[in-house]
Amino acid sequence: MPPPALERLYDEHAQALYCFLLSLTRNEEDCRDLLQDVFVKTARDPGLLDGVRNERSFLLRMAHNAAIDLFRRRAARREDDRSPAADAPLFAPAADPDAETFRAALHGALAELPPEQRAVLHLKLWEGLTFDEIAEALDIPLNTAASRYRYGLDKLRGRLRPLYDEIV
Amino acid sequence: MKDERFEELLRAQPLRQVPSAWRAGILERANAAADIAAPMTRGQDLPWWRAWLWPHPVAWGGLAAAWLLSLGLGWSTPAPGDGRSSPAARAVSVSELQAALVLWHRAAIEMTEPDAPKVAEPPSPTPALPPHSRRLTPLSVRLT
Repeated sequence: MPPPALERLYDEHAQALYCFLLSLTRNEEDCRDLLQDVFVKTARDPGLLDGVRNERSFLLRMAHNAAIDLFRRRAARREDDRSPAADAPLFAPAADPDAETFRAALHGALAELPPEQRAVLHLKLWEGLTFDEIAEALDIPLNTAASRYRYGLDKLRGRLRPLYDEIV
Repeated sequence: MKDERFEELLRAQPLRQVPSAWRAGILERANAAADIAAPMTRGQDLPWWRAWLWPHPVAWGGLAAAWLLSLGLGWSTPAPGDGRSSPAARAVSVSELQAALVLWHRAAIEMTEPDAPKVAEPPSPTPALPPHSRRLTPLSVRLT
């Protein structure tokens, strides 16, 4: 793949991939490694994106697969998922203390979700993907995507209810 | 708590920005990987037969040259004590080969004939059938 094409891909999709990977791994170093992995794989195969309708979904799927591979490798080696650099914040810092408190609580609540629910929630809430697109990106049935979203959202709501009631 | 309002609140939380310092490093590694992969993927643009030969063209060429050399030597060099190096002699050898194949085929047919066993068979608990029926039954089953 020629450098200009790679640069365009990076500029258009790296932000989304970064946040998705950060949400999955919660680790800045892992996130960087996986993001690089996605772009290296894309660069190695010039025809990889030929005929792809939705580049963003395709790259998100690559990122998800790369993260799953990482988790499996670590599970096989019985490593702890969380390195010392883990728990990198997903949300931008806020000037308002209440907003900062809410973001910290949301970050903690997301961390308690299983990765598969977290992935669906992230793609739905912050990437704006439809359940169809999520199902395609994560290679799961549509109903599974919808149910994971519903379960995950219910858990977040339960966890954040006190803060939410204060805000609203 | 209404679902829509809660979802809107979550969506409104801004995510962190990808560190700008990563761009150069990641693109550099990706471009380096592309440069390494480029010669390996060059064969994809070739016709199928060239793409098939492409991975080791020198090896294939060498093998073809060795084969041609061997063929040429075998054709031009008479074997010691053997006068079959000329095309006429080779034609004779082909006819001999055909005759040998015919003989081999006949021998194979005779060997499969169960009509005349050379050694005495042990007594069978089932009544013996006529030889032709023993031979034809499996064939008839297969045909039906």
